[in-house]
Amino acid sequence: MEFDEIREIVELLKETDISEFHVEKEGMKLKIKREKFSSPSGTAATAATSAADEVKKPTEEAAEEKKLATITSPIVGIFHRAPSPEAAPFIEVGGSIKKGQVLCIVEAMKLMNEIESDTAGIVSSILIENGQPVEYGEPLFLIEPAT
Amino acid sequence: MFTKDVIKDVYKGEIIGKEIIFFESVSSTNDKAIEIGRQRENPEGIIVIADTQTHGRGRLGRIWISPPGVNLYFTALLRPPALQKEASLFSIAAAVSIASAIRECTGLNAMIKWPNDILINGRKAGGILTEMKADKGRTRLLAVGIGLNVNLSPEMLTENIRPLATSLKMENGKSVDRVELLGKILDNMEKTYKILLNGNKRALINKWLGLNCTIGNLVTVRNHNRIISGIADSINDRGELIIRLSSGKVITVSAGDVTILKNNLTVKGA
Repeated sequence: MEFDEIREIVELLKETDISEFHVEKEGMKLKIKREKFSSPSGTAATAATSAADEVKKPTEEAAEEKKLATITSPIVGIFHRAPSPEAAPFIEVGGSIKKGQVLCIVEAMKLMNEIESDTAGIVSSILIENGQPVEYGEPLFLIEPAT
Repeated sequence: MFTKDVIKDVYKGEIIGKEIIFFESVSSTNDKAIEIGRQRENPEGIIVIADTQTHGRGRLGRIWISPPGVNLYFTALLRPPALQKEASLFSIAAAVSIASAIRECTGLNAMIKWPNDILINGRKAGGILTEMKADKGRTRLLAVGIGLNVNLSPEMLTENIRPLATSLKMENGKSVDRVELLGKILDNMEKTYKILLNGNKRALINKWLGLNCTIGNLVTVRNHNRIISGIADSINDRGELIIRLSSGKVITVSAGDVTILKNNLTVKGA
């Protein structure tokens, strides 16, 4: 499956209410989970969100037209979403990330390879499940670059 | 005495140990080495060593017990050119260097459990945690962190670790000179590093095979919620473990906790 195909699927999903999507093709499994963008809880935050809605709309439309950046695995190994089994994942879908921020670990022979984002933005998709093997060059994340 | 000056006198490699930075205490030598490495133009070969670690760690955040005055805790910083895809071989190379050095300095039969645990009589004496900070397929920095129980006593271990762990002193009944052992390990690391830089992966894999206690045995590999059981058949040129299942199917494993089941002797470890 080519990157353009994955991007097309992600773009199509954005126009729907589908929250989870699986497909298997040519020996590759793709699983996309979509979650609502996280926002602080509480009444103050809710009020702020609704007040900001009208202002935000043009920005969101512009973001959908942007190209998604792909973060790939530099080595063959096991994909870890958190630094330890008890720890929270490095990132979640919808979370904002900075350039150089650690997104995951790919482990091979006890070499823990911290994968950093080379762009700032919002995590659009996490393409691999925790604990699954990944190949060299395999896409791990799709990132919506910040403006 | 275990001091900066004594350590500097013992070994000076062409690459490994070109600069040795000693601390009485650090959180973890990997953390400190990475911090130092990121400030240097060329950190290749720097060794960061500490007498104790306040937050010594192993794979996936596990604790490495690091009391002062008894063991070796150090990290080698490497910047191998154009070898990122096979960077894990440097972790394999460190295991070969340590097991050989223990044999040479003490005569103990140190063995390697895949991929790089150092065992003596079935118990873990040493571990290696390698961390790579990489960006878009470009190696920036490889921190090979080593913890080796040299003169550790059983009472220094927690109760849950005690049946699984050992030290060189616990195995041969006498104290081992930490500085002499460190010098031998660094000397071996220089040799194995040069083997890899020369592209001779097979020579390194053969050395690993000669020191390992995993291949040919029934093993289980646990990774997250997946457990695989089978005969450890071999390792490939990337250092991955090839396991033959009872169905005859062959699986390649790149990470996980291995337990060796052999002649009623169960060897566990992180």
